[in-house]
Amino acid sequence: MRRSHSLLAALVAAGACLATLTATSAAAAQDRNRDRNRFASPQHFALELRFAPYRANIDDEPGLNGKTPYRDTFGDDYRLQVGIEFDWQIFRVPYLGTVGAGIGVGYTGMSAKAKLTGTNSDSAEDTTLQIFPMYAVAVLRADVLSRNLHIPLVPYAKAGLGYAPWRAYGPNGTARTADSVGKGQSFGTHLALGIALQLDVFDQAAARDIDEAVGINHSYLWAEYFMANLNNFGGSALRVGANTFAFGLAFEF
Amino acid sequence: MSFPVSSAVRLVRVILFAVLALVVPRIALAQTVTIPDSGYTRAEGDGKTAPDRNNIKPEVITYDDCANDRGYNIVVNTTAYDQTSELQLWAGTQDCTNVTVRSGSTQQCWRAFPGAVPRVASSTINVKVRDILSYAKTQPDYVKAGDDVCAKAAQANITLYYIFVKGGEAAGTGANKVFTVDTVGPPAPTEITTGIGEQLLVVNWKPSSETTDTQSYNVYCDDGTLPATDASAPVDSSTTADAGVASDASDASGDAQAFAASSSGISTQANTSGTCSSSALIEGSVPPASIKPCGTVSGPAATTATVTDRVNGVTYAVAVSAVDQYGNPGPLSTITCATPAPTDDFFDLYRRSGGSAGGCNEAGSGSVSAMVVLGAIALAAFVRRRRA
Repeated sequence: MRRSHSLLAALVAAGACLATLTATSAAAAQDRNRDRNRFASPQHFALELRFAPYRANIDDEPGLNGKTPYRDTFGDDYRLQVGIEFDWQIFRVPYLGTVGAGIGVGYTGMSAKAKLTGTNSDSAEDTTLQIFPMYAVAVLRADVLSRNLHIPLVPYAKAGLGYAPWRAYGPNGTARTADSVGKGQSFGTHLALGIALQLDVFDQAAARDIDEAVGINHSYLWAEYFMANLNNFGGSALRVGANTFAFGLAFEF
Repeated sequence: MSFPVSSAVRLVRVILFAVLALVVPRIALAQTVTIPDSGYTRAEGDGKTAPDRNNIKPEVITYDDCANDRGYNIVVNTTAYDQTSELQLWAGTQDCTNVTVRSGSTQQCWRAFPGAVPRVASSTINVKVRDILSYAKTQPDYVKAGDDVCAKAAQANITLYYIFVKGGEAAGTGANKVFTVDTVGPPAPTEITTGIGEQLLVVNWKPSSETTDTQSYNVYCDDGTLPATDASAPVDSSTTADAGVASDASDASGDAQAFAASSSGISTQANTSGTCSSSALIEGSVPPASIKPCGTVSGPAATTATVTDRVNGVTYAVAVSAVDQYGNPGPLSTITCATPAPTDDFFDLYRRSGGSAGGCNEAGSGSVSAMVVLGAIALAAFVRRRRA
């Protein structure tokens, strides 16, 4: 009994020490961050370079009644979407992060051989769909972990409106049917959740140098899942949006 | 005995007169021939001025010139044209002023203009490029009189000599002119395949090995309505590289066979279809100038061409020819058959599946502009904050 009391006392003591050390470390980290933040250049913007595997939701259109013209033409393969996003970090919520507005512009395209009519055979003719996904979103970047707790992770969320002009091509230019032209635009919502790994921790001196030299406060590797539900809010639309992951680099400045 | 001074003077005068009588007429009778700077004008077969060619100098002779029987209208100016001599035009790659290369068993030059240049101070003669290339050869390795000389000289320099000939010997020469002759196109591309689409053909090939000379590729399509090609038309020759020396056309012409085949027996892509025949396109033969290509693609490394404006359901015989820097087409490749057919591109399939999107609504451009404006505002704000 006495022995178990001693063990408990030892554990409590160890826990107290660990707590003290952690608190001390966190305090030290806060001090360092305060110093860093004190001498950092102003931060108002963010820029993302974006890459995403992209497969449009075209076959989800209810009017197709289960038919899959997109998959039948372009297959199941994902295509690469490239893009760029620019955020204006309008204000900072203490002990949370920045809130701002962002716009993003991207591009993706897919090509395949057109089918011979009435067969499943490929012709020698290319058919192409080009999509320019864009969005305007509100962005919350919760950088409290990195700023105050020295944890180099920044979770973030984006919500807003998406828009994508698109154009389908045949061998003679823009695709046409008897009553329609293969181009248009689709609207809808754009939502994203992601997390960014702050790269400053790998070389803080270099991060400070970059800030002093060109005003980049932080750089990140990030990944997110986004849902671009471009269905014209239930209207008639070529659903060129996608639900997919994206990743890339980001810079705050 | 005394010799009177007057007699001595008379003797000197006689001698002087005799010398002058011998020398002065020879000086006065020296024959010259000159061609003014603008003395050469390219001419069509009927002698009318031919249009200028893009990026090809006038003194370059191509297959197209030869096939269309073009020539040069040449202004020839002479002085003291001796009635006992003839101003002849000779062509060759050797020094044609040497009589040994103009006659006999060692002849290597040929007459480029029948007869003599008229005995007038200035005349305009029409010299055919065929005659510059070769004329009335007698040697076995040369093209014989009457043979087709086109498509037989690759990258040669042939000099046109103006020679006053008197008693077989050269009694004067001048105004020689060098022509660059290239009438042979690059080797034919290989591995021809033809795919089909909606009113189109997609032709693929492997570039010819001689890509340094290849500048583009011509695609030829025959739906059976092209005029038949003369079976004696020049065909691919592998012995044409030497200057001015051409192979005997009669040897190779036997290879020329009008094409008639079904797609099953020739190199085709899986979606090639149909049976075709063509008496116009002959594998290994240089396409006649009268047959225009249905498609052209630039670049020595090109491997594909899309030929549009075809008719669905009509079977075409298709062949490809490489073209060099002077526009000379090489021999035709193997011939394939293909029949364009209707296709469904993505948008066709989407609409037929019940999709309703599309149209020509241009509202998107306004929205794009809005995004651009938004971006510009953000950028302006950034710049302003940085300056502050």
